[in-house]
Amino acid sequence: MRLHRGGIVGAVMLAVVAAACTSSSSSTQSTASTTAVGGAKGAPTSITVGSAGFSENVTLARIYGGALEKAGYKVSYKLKIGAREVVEPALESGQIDLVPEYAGNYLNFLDPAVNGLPLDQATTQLQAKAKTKGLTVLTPSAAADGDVVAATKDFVAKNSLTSISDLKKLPAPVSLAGPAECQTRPTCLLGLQSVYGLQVKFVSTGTDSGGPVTKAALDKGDAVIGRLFSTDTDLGKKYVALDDDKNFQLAGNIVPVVRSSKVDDKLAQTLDKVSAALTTAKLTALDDQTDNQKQDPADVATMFLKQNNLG
Amino acid sequence: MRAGGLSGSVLAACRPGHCGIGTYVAEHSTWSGPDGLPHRLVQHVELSAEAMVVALALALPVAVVLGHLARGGVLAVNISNVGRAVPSLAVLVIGARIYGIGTLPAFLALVVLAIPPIVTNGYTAMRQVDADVRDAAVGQGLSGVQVLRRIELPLALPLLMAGVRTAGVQVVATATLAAYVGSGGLGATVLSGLVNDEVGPEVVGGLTVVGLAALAELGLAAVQRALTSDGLRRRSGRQPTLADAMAADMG
Amino acid sequence: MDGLLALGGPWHWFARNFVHTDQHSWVWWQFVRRNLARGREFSIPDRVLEHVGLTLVAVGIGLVVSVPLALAVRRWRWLEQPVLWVTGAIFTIPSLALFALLVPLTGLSTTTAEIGLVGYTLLILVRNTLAGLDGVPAEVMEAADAMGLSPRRRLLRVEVPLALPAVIAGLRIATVTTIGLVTVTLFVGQGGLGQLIDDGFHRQFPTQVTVGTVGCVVLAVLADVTLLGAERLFTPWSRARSPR
Repeated sequence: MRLHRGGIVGAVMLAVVAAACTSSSSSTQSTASTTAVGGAKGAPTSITVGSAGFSENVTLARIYGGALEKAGYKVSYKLKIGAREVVEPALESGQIDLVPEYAGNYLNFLDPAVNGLPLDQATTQLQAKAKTKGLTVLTPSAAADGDVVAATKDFVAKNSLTSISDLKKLPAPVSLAGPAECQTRPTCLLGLQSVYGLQVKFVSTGTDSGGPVTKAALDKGDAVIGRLFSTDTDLGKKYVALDDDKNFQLAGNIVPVVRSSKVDDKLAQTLDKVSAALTTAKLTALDDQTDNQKQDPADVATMFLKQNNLG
Repeated sequence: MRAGGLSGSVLAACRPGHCGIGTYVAEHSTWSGPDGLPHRLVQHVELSAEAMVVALALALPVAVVLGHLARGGVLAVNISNVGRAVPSLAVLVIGARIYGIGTLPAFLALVVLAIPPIVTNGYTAMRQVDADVRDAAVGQGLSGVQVLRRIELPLALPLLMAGVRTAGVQVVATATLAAYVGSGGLGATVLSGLVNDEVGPEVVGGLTVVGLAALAELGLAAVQRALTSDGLRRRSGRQPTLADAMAADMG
Repeated sequence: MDGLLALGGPWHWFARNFVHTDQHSWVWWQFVRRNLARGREFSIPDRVLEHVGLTLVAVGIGLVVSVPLALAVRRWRWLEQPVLWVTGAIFTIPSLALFALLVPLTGLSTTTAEIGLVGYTLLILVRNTLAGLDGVPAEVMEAADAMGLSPRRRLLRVEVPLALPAVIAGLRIATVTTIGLVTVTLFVGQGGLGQLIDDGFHRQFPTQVTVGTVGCVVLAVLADVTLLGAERLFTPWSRARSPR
C-alpha cells in the first residue's frame, strides 16, 4: 500500500515534542509515584505513536494520538519513519507502540502469499498473524485507502482501458512507475506479473510513493501505468484508476496496530471510536487539506477530532 | 493459483530486511535490466559527463577572460561562496519545481553546482600568475592573446584544473543525490536500499558510487598532471589538490 | 500593494509569489507565521536548532580530531602524505553513498549523521591547521627558543596564536560546507532544515523548500560572519599586518 509518500525522512521525532514529552512524563511519573498509595490506577500509560512517511499516515497518527491524549494517555510521536519495511521493525522492537495501518496491505506484508481476501477474512487472518508478533490489530475503519493501478485520462481513453486485464491489449512490456518497494510487493509489481500475467517493465520512482515523481513519469510517458492511492484527489481528474478485476489488491481499510502489552479496554475503545468516525470521504477530505491546501497534518488532525467530538 | 504462484517468486526475491550483500549480488536483476547496476552506472556517468561538459563550456571562458582582464573577481568569488551554502538537495528540488521531475532538472542542477568552483579557481589561478612574469612577457612584445596563451594559461593550469577536479567530484556526488528527483543513476540503487532497509543495495550501490567518484578524481588528476608543464612540475613538486581548490574558493 | 498585481509581467509574478501569497507561491507567509512557533511538525525554529546542533557537533568534533592530527604531522613529518591522502579520500566520497555505507553499522541515527559530517570537515581542518603551523616564521620560533620557552609553551604561546587565522579560515570553509551537507542527513533520519525541503518536495509545497533553502543560506552567512569576527577578535595583529 502506500508507504512513505513523504520521502525517507527516517525516524524523525520533533526534538521539542520529544523534549516536552520526556520532561512532562517524568514529572507525571514522579507525582504518580508519590500519590500511588491512594490511586490504584497509577501513572498514565505512555504511548509512542509512529507513522509512515506520507502525509495521510501522519495525519492519522496525529488523530489516533490526539484521541489517546484526550483519554489521559501520555502520548509522544515518532512520525515519518519511512516505508512499512522500516516501520514494522520499529513497532516489533518497541520503538513505537502504535501505527495506523491499512488492513489488506499489512496482511500481505506479514504473509506475501495472501491476496484478494474480503475485509472480514483479512482482518481475522491479520489478527492471528499479528498476535504471534506481540501486536494487536484493532477493529478496521470503514475508511479505506488502497493501492490503485492508474494511467493518465488521455491514455485510458485512447486505448479504451477499463480494467487491469485490458492492459494485455497493449504491446508488451507494459511500463509501471512505482517506488522502490513496489518491486518486492505482491500488491504491486509482483502481483501484476503473477496474477495478471503481464509482462512489466519497472520504472523506479525511488522514494516517491504515488507522489510527484510517479505522476511525472505518467505525464511524460516514461511509464504508462503507475501505482497511486485511491484517496488521491487527482484520480478522476488527471488520472484514472483501472479496475482491479482479479482482486490482486487488498482492502485498504485503516486499522490501528498496537503493541499488545499496551492494549487495555479503554485504549481499544478510544481508538475504535476514532476508527468508527472515519469514512473514506472524510479521509479524502483530510488528504485534500494536507496535500492540496498545504495545512499541517497536526492542525488537520486537531480539527478532525474537534469536529467529531473526539478531542 | 494466484497465491501459490506468488510465494515462490517472493521468497526468491531480495526482500526488504532480508537482502544482504550476498543475496543482492546473487540476484539476477542486480546485473541486468533498467534497475540493474550496469544500467544505473551508465546513467550516472552519462548524466555527470554531460553536466561537466556544459559547465566547462560555460565556466572556463568566463574564468579565463575575467582572470586575464582582472575584472569581476570579487563578485565571482562571493557568488561562489554563497553558492556553497545552498544545499545541493535544494538546488535539485528547486530545479524539479521549475522543470518538472526527471533527468533535466538534475542535469541543470549539476551544471549550476559545477560552475562556481571552476570559475573561482580559474580566476584565482589566472590572477596568481606573477605580475613580473606577465610584465616581462609584455616587455618582450607579446600581445594580450599571446600572453594569455603562452604565459598565463600554462602557469594557471594546475590550480585551474584543481577547480575542475573539485567540480567533477562534486558532480558525481550530486548525481547520486539526483535520484531523489527521479533522475535514475546509482543513487536510485542506494536510495532503494535505504528506503527498504536492504543492506545489499546500500553497500554495493554505495561502494560503486565511491569507486566512480574515486575514478573521477584520479582521472582528472591525471589530466591535470598531463597538462602541467614539465618545468612547473619540477619547481613546485606538488600539485594543487581539492583542498587548494576549496581554499581558492574562499578567496 | 494591489498595484503590483495590476502592473503585470514580472511584477505580477513577484506579487503572486512574495506579496499576495497562497499555497502555490514560493513563500506562503501564512505557513511561515504559523510555524514560527516551537513544537510544531514544521516548526522553523526547531528545524533551525537541529541544523545548528548537527553542524556545531560536527565541526567541534572535527576540530578536536584535526588539531592533534596536524600536530602529529608536525612531529612526524612522514605522516603528512598518509593523513592528507586519507582525509582527502573521505572528502571525495559522495555524501549519500557514505551515509548508506554507514547505515548497516550505525543505523538511521544521529551517530551516522555525525560520523559522515565530521569526516567531511577533516581534510579542510587538518590542511589549514597544518598550513597555519607551518607558516610560523622560523625566526619567531628561534626567538621563542632563545627566550627559553619549553616546546609546549612555545606551541601554546607562539605557534597556536600565529596559526589561528589559517585555522579559522579552515573553520569557515568547514562550517559553511557542513551546513549544506546537514540537509543530506535527511536520508538517515536527521536533516534539520532538510526535512522542510523534503516535505515540500513530496507535498509539492514550494514554501517549505524556500524556507529550508533560505534558512541554510542565512545560517551559512551568519556562521561565516561570526567566524570572521572571531578571527578579528582573537588575532588583532593580523588585521594590522594583512588586511583581507
